[in-house]
Amino acid sequence: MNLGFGVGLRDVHFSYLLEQPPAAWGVDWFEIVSENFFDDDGFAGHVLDRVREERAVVMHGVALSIGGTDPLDCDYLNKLKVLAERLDPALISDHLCWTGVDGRTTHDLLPLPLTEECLDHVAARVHTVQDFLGRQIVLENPSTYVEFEVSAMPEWEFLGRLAETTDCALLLDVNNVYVSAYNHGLDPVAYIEGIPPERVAYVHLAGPSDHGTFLLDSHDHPVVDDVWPLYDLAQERTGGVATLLEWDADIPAFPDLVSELDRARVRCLS
Amino acid sequence: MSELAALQSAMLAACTAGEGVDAAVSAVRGAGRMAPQARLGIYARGYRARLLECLRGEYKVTRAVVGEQVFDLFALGYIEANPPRSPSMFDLGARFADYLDDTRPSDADAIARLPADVARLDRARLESRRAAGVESIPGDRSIDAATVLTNPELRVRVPASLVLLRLGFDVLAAVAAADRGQPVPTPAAVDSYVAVARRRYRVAVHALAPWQYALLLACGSDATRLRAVVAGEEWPVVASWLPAAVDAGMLTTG
Repeated sequence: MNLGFGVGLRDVHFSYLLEQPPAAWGVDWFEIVSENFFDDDGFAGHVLDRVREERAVVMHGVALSIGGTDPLDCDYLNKLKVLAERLDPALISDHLCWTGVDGRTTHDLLPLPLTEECLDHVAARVHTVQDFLGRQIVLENPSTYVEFEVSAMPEWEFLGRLAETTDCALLLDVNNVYVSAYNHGLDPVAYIEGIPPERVAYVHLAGPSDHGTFLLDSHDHPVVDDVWPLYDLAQERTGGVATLLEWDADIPAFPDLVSELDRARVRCLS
Repeated sequence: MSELAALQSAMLAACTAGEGVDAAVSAVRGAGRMAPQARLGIYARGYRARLLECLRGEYKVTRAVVGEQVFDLFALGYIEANPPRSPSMFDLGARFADYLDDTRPSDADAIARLPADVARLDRARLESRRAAGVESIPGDRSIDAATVLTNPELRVRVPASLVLLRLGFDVLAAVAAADRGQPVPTPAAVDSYVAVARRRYRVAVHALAPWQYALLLACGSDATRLRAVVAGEEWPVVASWLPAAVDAGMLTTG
């Protein structure tokens, strides 16, 4: 199932989407940040329902903490399930990360040590979540700024083995590949070639910010030139999967966002 | 504790409080253009910036009233005292007004109560925006005073999107100025009653008379027979105000 070309649903665009006819939106689907719509019976929920009437929606979470060592949060999972029952999303995704421990959260996507112990730990939790939701989940490679001494395998191998073990799908964020590869001196092409293409459900694009000694996954710029060849490679290896453009700060007007998305559309057509 | 749990505890401490840095640093590879401590610093700065930005966005009137520097001091103190525990960012600022109250010096002037009062109003506006409102109530409709006066069985209820506040300052002018991005006048110290209500997904702040505040408090979320909570002699006054209250989303007959 290829959903086509989508963007993140953000509140700065709510009025535009309500005012414009859906045929003029210029996108095939929307991705939402799942947690932003938990317990929201206001305007955001209203807009989401209107959008869902017209387009497919993917629920993309940032707080599942699939790699965390605290017990899985049952209240969180219940809210995720309730939202999924309301929206019937095409996919439910989150990140290969942990967000907190000892009852605390950082609201960040923190990196995991890539060890056999951690792989077993994450796999067990993926099984639990998939059983609870009654469906496959999709996990994204995060941008990272540290690697751990104990790590014993590259991230692409960890993700591939996790997908093989649990039958989860993968969200390949080519910008995150670029950011992590830059930050750790890795080869981004080798990363993408190491990901099992048949497991990739969709691809993320975004723009990072350059802080000199490191790149930050800030989602506040257009896609950088170096990322486009990686995107082409990902599309070539997967045989063509859905594309989602993320933009979360200094967000442009919706038509400008769609123009940036169209750069991906054109590359896939050529 | 497993090695994974120990590593996560060390990294959380290093990234949120600058504690346990040695344990986290020793776990991080130092290869490349950045040392482990600098790499962990990216997460530490991100943690602080992310939470601060959330509070700045949610407490806009408070920020305008106390100024950006003072607000950031309040907010960073709050984050340190109340580190986030909920997966929802919406919950981060839930206790901010209480924190401002709790940390106010006991011998401070009355004006020192202002930040907490304004923070309560900011939070109320946020809660009203997300709660279930009259928009989703099928039977919600406008009424007129004649209908109120001639219908002794009239029942009303308040939607979840209504938040009632009793404050020590008149904050309405400050709210209006902050919303327009204009300089904010210092609110006068005076007992005030406020309703934060929503209609057609637009949240507004309304000044209330004490009897209006008491009436809305008496009307719960279940349908309440109006005659049961309004004394006979007050009936004409209530009937003349009720249509406006319904139109503002404070009450519904649905």
